[in-house]
Amino acid sequence: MRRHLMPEIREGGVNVTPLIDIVLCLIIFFMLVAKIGVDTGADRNIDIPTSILGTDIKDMGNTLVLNVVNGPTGVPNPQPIVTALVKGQMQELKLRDFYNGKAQDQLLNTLKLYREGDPILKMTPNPDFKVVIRGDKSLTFRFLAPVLMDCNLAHVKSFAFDTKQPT
Amino acid sequence: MKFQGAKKIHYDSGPNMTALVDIAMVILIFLMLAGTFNQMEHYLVSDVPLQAKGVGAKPPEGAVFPTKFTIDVSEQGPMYTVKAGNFASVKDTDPRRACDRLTVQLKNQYKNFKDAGVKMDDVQIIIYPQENVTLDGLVPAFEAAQNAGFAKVGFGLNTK
Repeated sequence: MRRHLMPEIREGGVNVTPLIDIVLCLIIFFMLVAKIGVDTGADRNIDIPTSILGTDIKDMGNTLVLNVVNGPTGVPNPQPIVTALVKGQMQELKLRDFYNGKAQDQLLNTLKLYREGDPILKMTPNPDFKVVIRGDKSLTFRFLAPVLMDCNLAHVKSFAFDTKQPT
Repeated sequence: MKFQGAKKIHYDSGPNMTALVDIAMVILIFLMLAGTFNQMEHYLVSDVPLQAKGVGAKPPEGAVFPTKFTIDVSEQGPMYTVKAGNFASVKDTDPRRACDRLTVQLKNQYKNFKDAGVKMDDVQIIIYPQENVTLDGLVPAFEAAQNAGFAKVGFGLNTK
């Protein structure tokens, strides 16, 4: 009796093994290099100034990015509009705010919190804490100076301006 | 009569890789589009605290003062002016062009300091901008100072 064997499947086509190798290498590369899901709080709508010089900040974990734009003028005590990602939430940090009749310096308090820590919030003091100022190119020194002043008062050792490279 | 055609090249069959390739390509394109590489941005870092003219108490006796000079930056209409100490003054309608010229003069000053035996790590440049100067005008002045070789560049506040 003759046995029926399964026919041998043979398939012609392009050998895709090198393609898969390269594609998987590229995927691993992009997964390592791309910063997906890492939000520093930088507002991409701000048009930052251009600079030729500049360094890279390796340790972005020790930084707080402050988005600073000009505030309204023609009002008493004009203030810049400062936003930052604080405790995972984008917040506006007013330089001086009145709450229940008490003056509060939200920006200064936040900077102090990051710099000096808070045992209740389980935040340890961070002497290497840096501030990155992501200011609009039209930001005037009138609005920038109070932000620098608050950095000084909070004993922030260094600050950096976020700039873009010329194209 | 039976004709025998050219022998076909056969590959051994295995798992169908088409789906894998499709998914891998989709992931690759997603990562390429969604990834932010921050290659186009960099930072101008300053480790010098904000200074203020005309405020503060008498310094303690024996205090060592760093060598410092100031750069005044002002914008009046289209004219951009930078004055560095008493040795450089540049005016131009384009801040970057003005600061390129300032860089040359600051480089000369750097050389003068070095020739005079000043410890360059201690030299501070404090930029005093007018209130109406924009960040776009501040950054070139900051850059000019760093480009000339001065490592410690900070900002000052006019308190008058």
